[in-house]
Amino acid sequence: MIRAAIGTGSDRLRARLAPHFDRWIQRRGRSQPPMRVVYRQIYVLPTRFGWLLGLLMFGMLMGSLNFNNNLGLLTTFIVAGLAVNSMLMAYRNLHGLILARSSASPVFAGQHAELHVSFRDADGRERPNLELASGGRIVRFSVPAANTTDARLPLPTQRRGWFKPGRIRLQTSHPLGLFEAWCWFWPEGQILVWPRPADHPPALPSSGGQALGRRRQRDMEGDNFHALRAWREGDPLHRIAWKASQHHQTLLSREFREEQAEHLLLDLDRTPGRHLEEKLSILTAWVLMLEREGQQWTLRLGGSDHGPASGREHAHHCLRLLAER
Amino acid sequence: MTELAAAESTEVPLAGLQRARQTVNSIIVGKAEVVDLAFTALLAGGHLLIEDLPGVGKTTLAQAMALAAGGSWQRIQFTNDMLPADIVGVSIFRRENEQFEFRPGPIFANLVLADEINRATPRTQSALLEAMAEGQVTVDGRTYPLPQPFFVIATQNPLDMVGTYPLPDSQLDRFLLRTSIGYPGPAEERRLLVEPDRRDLLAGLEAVLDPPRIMALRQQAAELHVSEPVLDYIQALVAASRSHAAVHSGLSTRAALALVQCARAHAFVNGQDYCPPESVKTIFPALAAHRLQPVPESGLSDSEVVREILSDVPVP
Amino acid sequence: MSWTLAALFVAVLPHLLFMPAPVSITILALLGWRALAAWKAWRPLPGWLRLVLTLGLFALVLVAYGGMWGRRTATALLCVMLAAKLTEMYRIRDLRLVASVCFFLIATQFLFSERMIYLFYLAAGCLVATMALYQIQQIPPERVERIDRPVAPDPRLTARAAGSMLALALPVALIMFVLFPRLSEPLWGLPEQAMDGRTGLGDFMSPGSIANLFIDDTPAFRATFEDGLPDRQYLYWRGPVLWNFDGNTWRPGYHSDRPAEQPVPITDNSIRYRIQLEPHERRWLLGLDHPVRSSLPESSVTSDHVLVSRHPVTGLVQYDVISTPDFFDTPVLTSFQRRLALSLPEGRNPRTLALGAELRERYGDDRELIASVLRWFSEEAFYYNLSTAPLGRHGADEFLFDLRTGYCEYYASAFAVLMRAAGIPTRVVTGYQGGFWHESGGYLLVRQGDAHAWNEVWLEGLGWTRVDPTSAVSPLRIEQGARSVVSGGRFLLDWPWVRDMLNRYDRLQHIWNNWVLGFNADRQRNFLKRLGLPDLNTLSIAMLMLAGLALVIAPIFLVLLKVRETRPTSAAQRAWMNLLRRLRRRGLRKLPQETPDEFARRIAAEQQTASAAPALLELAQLYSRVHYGPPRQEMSEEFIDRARRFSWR
Repeated sequence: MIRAAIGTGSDRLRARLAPHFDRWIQRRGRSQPPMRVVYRQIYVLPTRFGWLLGLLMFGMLMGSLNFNNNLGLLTTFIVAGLAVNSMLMAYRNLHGLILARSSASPVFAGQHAELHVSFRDADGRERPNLELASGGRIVRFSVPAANTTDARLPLPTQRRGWFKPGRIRLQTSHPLGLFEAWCWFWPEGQILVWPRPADHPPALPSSGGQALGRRRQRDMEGDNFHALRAWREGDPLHRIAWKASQHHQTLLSREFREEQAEHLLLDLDRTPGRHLEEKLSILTAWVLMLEREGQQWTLRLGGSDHGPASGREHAHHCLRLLAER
Repeated sequence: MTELAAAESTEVPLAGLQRARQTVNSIIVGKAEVVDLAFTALLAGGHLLIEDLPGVGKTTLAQAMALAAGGSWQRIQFTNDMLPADIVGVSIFRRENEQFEFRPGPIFANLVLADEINRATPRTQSALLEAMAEGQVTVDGRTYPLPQPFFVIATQNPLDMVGTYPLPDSQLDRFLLRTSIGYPGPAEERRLLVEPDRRDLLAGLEAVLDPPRIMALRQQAAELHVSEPVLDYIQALVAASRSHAAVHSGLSTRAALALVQCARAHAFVNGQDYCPPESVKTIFPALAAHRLQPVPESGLSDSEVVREILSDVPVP
Repeated sequence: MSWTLAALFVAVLPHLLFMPAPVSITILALLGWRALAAWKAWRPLPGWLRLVLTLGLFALVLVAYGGMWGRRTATALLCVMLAAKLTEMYRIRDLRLVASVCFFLIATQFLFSERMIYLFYLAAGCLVATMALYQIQQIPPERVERIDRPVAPDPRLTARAAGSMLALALPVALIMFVLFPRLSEPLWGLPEQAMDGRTGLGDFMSPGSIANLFIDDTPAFRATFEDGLPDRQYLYWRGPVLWNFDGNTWRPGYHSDRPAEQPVPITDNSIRYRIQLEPHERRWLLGLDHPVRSSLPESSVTSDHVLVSRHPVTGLVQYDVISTPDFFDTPVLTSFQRRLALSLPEGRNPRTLALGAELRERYGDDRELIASVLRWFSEEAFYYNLSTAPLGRHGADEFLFDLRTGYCEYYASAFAVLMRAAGIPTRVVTGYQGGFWHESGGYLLVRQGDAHAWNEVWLEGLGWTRVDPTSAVSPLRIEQGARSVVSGGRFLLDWPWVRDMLNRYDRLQHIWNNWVLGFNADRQRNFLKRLGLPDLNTLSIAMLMLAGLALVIAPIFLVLLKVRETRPTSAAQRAWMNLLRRLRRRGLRKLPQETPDEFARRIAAEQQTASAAPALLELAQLYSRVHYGPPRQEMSEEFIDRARRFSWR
């Protein structure tokens, strides 16, 4: 009971202090890619294992000092030297590292957005065992000397819209795990989170009162057959209507006509669904379906029409509108 | 200085190449880099895509290239009612002998200028792209090889979006290089206003090269020395494109091979007997930009990504 | 995993040698099992089995050590518990725990011995443990909780990384070693028993007890003399003085611990020297006859003129001693001392007693009596060798009349019995005699094998006087040491060159002892005094250490953070990089993404007034041809030459 109270109390305190803390970090240097990690942004503290080894060292020190055991002391001091180096090397693993850029592709709500961060080393040394950490999720990567690499950190998303990822920790406890050096940064920009597509969307709106409906059945040729005409020089072989030609005793070609643009209208107001989120989910599912089938559609949102068009770009445009709705 | 020395020391085709370059440059004033790119694509055995506004000289460039390079040339003006057969050709029925005969389309030429390629339907586009990729045409089950050298300069109008069919991303890498011409500089533009019409100048051009010579030049360009540091540099560029956060997927190994080939050709066009990193740097935007797809949300264009990669990767 | 096991193996190895066989075999078996389990990816043992195993091992150690609690038992327990930990070593934190405790194990080994040879152990142990920690760090975080299969990066890489870490740790360690404030007094009691079961000179003497030491080549102590090596006859290193004889064994007198009644004066003949005493777990400090005092704190001289320390010598000690050889010891013998120095066990050695009585009758003068006995020893068929025949109830009789062959303790014991029988107060002195003079090192090395026993008789007007019956039998023993007398190899490989090598090695050991092991609060103070920093308190020394550390760490840090240039692959590239370095000093910096040509062009554009800019451009273009073009020797040489001569104006 009491503990719970303390727990919530400290959480509340943390929540109150967090913005101040963030501002404090941001004052210490550029904290958004592109950035170069410099000393003011690097924090170094012993890890839990580091503290344990410290305790062990203290025991060794006291024992050796007491018995004036010089080799024992030497061992202790070598461990101390290792610890000091461990600290320096953890620091150096971060120092000068360049976070060139970060970005994330849009995802559907509930999926993990993959934050994609490019790192570059310009100091000519390898930077092994770096980690990106956020919300208990850790990914490990290395940057080769004088080279670039990228790391992908999955970030959970919940709500559609623009998602601003919080502070990300770039950390390393290379080489021995005694000290951890870390710095904080905020990813560039925001991540677009599309609405979650409905699992079982209702059937697409059929060509009802509107003049727009589903496409006619395609003919066997795969293009829109229009009429037959006399064969002219230059018509390809496969256009010759052999059966008809035989019938008419003259060569006939099939003529094709550019297909009339027929497409669907997806109207938010006419979409089934109990509330906005559900409607958006269904629209998302429809857009995906239409894009997959290579059809054209128009999205009508609050009086403005988008389209008609087809393809990935149009789909992305529509999904973005739905996310921002 | 080095260019002159190199030109004197090599045999006739190379001298011819330099003369051809000078010829084209005399028509396209102040656009030496674009002309170099065009010759690079020609000598690397690839095709060139020029994306630019109307009236900056895309067609003039292609014509000048065609005339200077010698051999046959064809211009195809793409429209939305064009059919694949209009490009690759058709089998026609000869009444005299009651047989079908293949009549080659305009694509059967050493140099093909495909003007405003994005006006055609994807079907028609892909007929061209397939022919470009395979170096041959298949009509009604029969295969007809295209002439050698076969070089396509395609143009695309970026602003005119209505009623156009932009080339699909996955097909863009059929073009070895993509570039734009841009407006001429003030001095050059001023000169253009005074000088006679470019079309008249073109009429006066005479062929400097011919197909066999071009094939010989290609062979020579492919054998140019590329040193270890330059290969390292190329590999680093390709690796950097893969690790760039704003890019969906980086350059493929095929693109890396193309980069080596283009860098060679570019150095060769510039009369050098080895491939310097400058050639790689010059060629890289034209080679890489259209093969990289930036994440839209990153707010970066492909050419900005390429510029970032170039400024990120140290020259060994 | 693999290196963690290796680290434990290395760390535990010297401990194993001194453990009861069942314990060490169990530890090795557990190590082997764990290695096999890792290799074959066996499932971990169930929890109850691990508990049983742990308890069983605990009991095993207690039984093997007979329930005795001491440093040995404690370290054995630590080793065994670590071995038990192996059975549940499946997570990163377990691996780390084991690897780090290896450092602790290494340090505990030095409680038992600090010989120089252990430096290799220290180096190897630290290296492998560091490699283990390094390897553990390579395990990706998603495998934190369970490591079924070992992750194995290239062992050479791991070794190189760990080696360089250790190399960088050394300066820090050395500064701390020299400047860490030392304790002049221990915080808590010293441990009782520590020796590796090695025998040294005991505080009693029975037949064979000294002869057994003969084969022991380990150094007992080393001495450096202020005025060069004294005459051999003075080299009697005085150890325990034995008064009580029970027929077999000689033991110290009840009064032996009392402080000396009369102080020994310092005369012109006094010898000044410095002793570096190896730990022997006893209280006596060795000194030449009639030590005046030693520089060791809490040391004193007993009434038997033996130097003793208040605490057993458990670590290497160094002290200065002054001894006066010509000292008139005990002018007047108290009746108590006389009775003690004449007492003999009853009903033993009748023939010796008879001989003593006979001698007493024949010689009025004690000195003549002693001389006649020594003459007897040298003229009759008495032999000096290593035979350690057990002696029966009448030991002196058996030796003097039948056996007549033995080591120094036989002679000392029999001689004392004979003297006491003749009514001359006699005692036995044990210690060391002679030693190996290390010419190049300028010190005398005394080994355990130099242990010796002799007698002191009390003579009217002379006090206690040294008589060495062994010298009568075998004068060479005194002149050249026991090894020259006893023939035949003492053990395998006992060849002269091996001995020579051991002697050379001892030189190193001496330096080692002097500078590393002997370093203590005293010497630290002396060292600081020599630096011109006398009388620093603990806090100031600590501050000094921190300053020293900062001084050492700063350059390490700078080296670590240094931007590394690519290594040149050709002479031309080296010349070019040199040129760039020179230009950088002028503030002209080539950007990494620039080609040589671009760089030169930019510089030419930025520095239009510089007369060297065109030359630089030409040079850059030449370099471009050399570096990127097909190889051309003469062009490369031309470039190198021009680059060397180039200077920015």
